[in-house]
Amino acid sequence: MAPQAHHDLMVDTTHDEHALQSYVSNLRMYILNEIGGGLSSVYEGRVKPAFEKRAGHAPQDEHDVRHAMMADPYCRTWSTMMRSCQEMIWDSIIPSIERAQPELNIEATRLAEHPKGSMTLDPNVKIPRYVSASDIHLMPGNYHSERGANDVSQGALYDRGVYVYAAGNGGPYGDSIGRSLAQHLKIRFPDLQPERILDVGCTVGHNVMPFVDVYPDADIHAIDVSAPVIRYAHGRAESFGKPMHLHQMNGERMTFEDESFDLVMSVVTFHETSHTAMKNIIAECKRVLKPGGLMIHMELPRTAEMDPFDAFYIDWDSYYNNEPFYQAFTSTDMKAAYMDAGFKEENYIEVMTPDIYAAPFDTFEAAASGPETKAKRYGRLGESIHWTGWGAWK
Amino acid sequence: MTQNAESKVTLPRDAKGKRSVFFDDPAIDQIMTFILELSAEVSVVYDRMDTVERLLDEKGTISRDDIEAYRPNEGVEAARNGRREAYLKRVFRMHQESGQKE
Repeated sequence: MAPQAHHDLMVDTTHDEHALQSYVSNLRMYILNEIGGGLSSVYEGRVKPAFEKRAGHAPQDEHDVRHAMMADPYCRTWSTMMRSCQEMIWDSIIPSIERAQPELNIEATRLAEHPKGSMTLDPNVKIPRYVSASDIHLMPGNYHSERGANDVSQGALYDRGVYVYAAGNGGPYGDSIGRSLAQHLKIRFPDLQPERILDVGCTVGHNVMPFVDVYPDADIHAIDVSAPVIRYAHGRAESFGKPMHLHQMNGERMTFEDESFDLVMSVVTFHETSHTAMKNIIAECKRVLKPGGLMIHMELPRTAEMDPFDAFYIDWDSYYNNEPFYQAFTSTDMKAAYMDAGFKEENYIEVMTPDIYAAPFDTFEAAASGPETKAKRYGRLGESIHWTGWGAWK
Repeated sequence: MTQNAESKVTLPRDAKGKRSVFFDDPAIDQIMTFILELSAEVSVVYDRMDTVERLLDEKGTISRDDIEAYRPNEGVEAARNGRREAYLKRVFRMHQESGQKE
């Protein structure tokens, strides 16, 4: 695991904690790629033929595949390893955060003293049930838990946890999706010169911070319902010297003025909200967007476009990794959702971009300059890493 | 792990909700967790021993503080990554007849 870019809110680890986090990261990649890589041949080789013999037809959808696969010992072994390893990620980090208190919160407060950006907390923001009811990704305490004033613990846990989870493949700043999106938009829409940019559901700001680099003249705003992650995002951005305006705010009921942003975006936010919340957020994005502005949401690929095995694989997390809205989201028709919110069909766009760190730059550039690319298999399934998004001009 | 006495911050260790069970006998899931945790302990001990050996090569004599303060540089981290990957391949080898690719 390559080292994470250092900032002043990063928590010190002991020798052995560092060794443990490194191992858990290796372990996850091994289970995901080496053992997980055998799932498709298990399916094609014995699970699918047995299903066909029994049912008299091929598996019709991801649910057929799931029921059949989850009865197979290979898939069960892979699954129980995935689940345990996910728990081990958080366990490898939590003790270091506990030990770092109270200095960690004090440091966050210090970083907020002479800011280049700003932070606005709103104690009246209620944590929505889709955040409070479940610990997403099995992260104990989820995004929002607070233990006293100025607490940033959950932000610290998420920042390091995502890095260990991705084995550093999101780049030293863990910003691969946001940086890919920002750079893609810059190349594809050279006339888009946003003065104000908004990120909805920013957590610790991983994916919005690259917009500071790509659009240096823009004011960058980012919101999240959770105070601990907003405090952490603010301290992290200040420590990196990146001016950002962080707000504790619910994307379903924003307090920004109408038509006040040129670009409104999110990165993997929708699949962690309910369907109702997603519709409310889209309506709010439209309200705060200036005429001629762009809304774009980066998300998981649609399972409707996949064969049943790939859909089963993508949606595994929904059932076993505390992603209660994942499966409902991946089967949502985003274009229809945007049309329902009043966007015009001719203004609908899709983004399919290679990962900016994984792809050679000319490949990246070609994908942004040419006609919209369609990869047959992408995300975790593809030969190379691609990120997908759905957008609309207002 | 000792906590800073002043802070008394305790973070939860378990995620909300029922823990997924994948085998008909939940003891198998439990045993798999034990094995994965043990595999992590072995890897941590190996890295610590590697640190001791490297420091001894370098300095001849070392203290516990030297070990705690040691952080692998890029080359050492890469060597350890390679060692861990080979270790994972040996310990968690799935049987061919289970359908893994040849």
